[in-house]
Amino acid sequence: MSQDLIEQGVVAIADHIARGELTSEAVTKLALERLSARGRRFNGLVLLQEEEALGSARAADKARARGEALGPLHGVPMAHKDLFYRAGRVAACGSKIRRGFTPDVTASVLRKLDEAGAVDCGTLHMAEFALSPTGFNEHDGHGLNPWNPAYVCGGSSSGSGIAVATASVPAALGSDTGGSIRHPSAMCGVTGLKPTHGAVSLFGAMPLSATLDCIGPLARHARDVARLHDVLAGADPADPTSLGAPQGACEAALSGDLRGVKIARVTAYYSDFVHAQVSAALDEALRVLRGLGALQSHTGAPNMSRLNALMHLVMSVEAATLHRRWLQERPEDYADQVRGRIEPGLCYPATRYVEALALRGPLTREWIEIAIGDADVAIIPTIPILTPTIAETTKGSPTDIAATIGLLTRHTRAINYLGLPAIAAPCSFSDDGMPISLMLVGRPWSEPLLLRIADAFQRMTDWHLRLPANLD
Amino acid sequence: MRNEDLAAIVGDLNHVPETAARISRHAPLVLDTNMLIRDAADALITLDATPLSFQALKAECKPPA
Repeated sequence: MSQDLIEQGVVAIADHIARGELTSEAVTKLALERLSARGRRFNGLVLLQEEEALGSARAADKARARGEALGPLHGVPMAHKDLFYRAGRVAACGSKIRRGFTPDVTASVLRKLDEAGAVDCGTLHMAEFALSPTGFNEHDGHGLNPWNPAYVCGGSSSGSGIAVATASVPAALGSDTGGSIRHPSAMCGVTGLKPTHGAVSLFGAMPLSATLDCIGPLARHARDVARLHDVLAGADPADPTSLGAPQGACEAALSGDLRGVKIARVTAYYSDFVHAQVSAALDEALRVLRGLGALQSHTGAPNMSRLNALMHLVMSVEAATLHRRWLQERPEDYADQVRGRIEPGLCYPATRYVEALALRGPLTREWIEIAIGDADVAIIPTIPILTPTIAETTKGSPTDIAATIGLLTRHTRAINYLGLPAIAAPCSFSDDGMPISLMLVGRPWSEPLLLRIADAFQRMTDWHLRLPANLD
Repeated sequence: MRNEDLAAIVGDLNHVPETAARISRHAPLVLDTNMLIRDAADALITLDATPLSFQALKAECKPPA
């Protein structure tokens, strides 16, 4: 399958630039053209920074010509969800309330990408205040799925999924509080990592729920996600909750060899409501993984109603704490669906919130013991149902809409309460031509293993290489 | 407690009078969630037995840098 420059991905582009076979200016121009055309067509683009990006790209080319040491992302163009602050640049966070908000700080993740040599081309569509799993945004319009614009693209990092799936950029950052990296990855057919909570600094990213928020990359290739996570992970004095991680561990782990790795297929809660096409795709993915030497076990799941309730309580209480003043002063400036997800947080007694935090340790331990067991990782469908249409998530009875949205987040949301790392990767397509995705979940700090498995799978399959038809 | 009473208390405590009028629609979710978490806490949290924290679990799993 032939791939153009951006489809080849982050590692390939950085290698071409380092060897002098490609200029950053050339690939950045291509990214800007595609963001402008494809990004706008699927409503994935918020802000294009042409002059700034081309200036950075030319500076990167001059640095290489001078023989300077090159970072691991030297000259690679990217764009990111519109909630990562860059001093002096508007970050509306998908909202009406923050329209025109110009931060005076730069997010630590953007600073780390800058230091690694990446070129920032602009900002991407997101759900209002990161509060929708579908790409719904009442103010900016729906993000559209590049595989079929009648279908939802996934959110809340909707533009990140769109920009990578359309090969507008090789990678983009997203954030994940209940699945917001994994949903667009799954529905747009790309690879996305939600790291261990605390692995990546949250400083300078719009908070939704600090206990649950995680920042991670979306890219076509798992190897690109590995390189990006190696750049992003690590302790940051600006975010005291961030913790160190072994440097360079993810990319170094990509051996292609899965001998001795044990993967648990989780049933019970994680097999109820799973569509037959999704289940068949997971079976086939496991067959490929076994062919690479992986062992398979079967496990169950603990009380997931309780875990989902805990996630909901922590998220809504922390979000309501941040939004209370606006709920008081500007309630009409929220979409009803968004406001309705924050308001319950005003109702819970403080004792429940403290209990929810205290229960996180033992219940995470319990989930690992039951769902992973004696295996190394668990495998679960990222989304149990087939990707719905926009109409299915916006029209009809509120009960039906809520049920569909609840199924979209059924497998993702508790993972944030548990704080565990998870990677979503494409593993098939449905009969209606929409991507199907698997999710690997590991113990804390197991990102190198998750990426090793996803990369090995991608060496044997081409689901991640496929591109939507009629992009131009 | 009646849903309207809960809504009034929440609206008053948070000073969000317009939101208070909408709170009653969240009452079933709030009451279910409250019960699930209270029951879990009853089983795991006592004065003399604080559960191992999430931070401790992460530290236990962390590979050497």
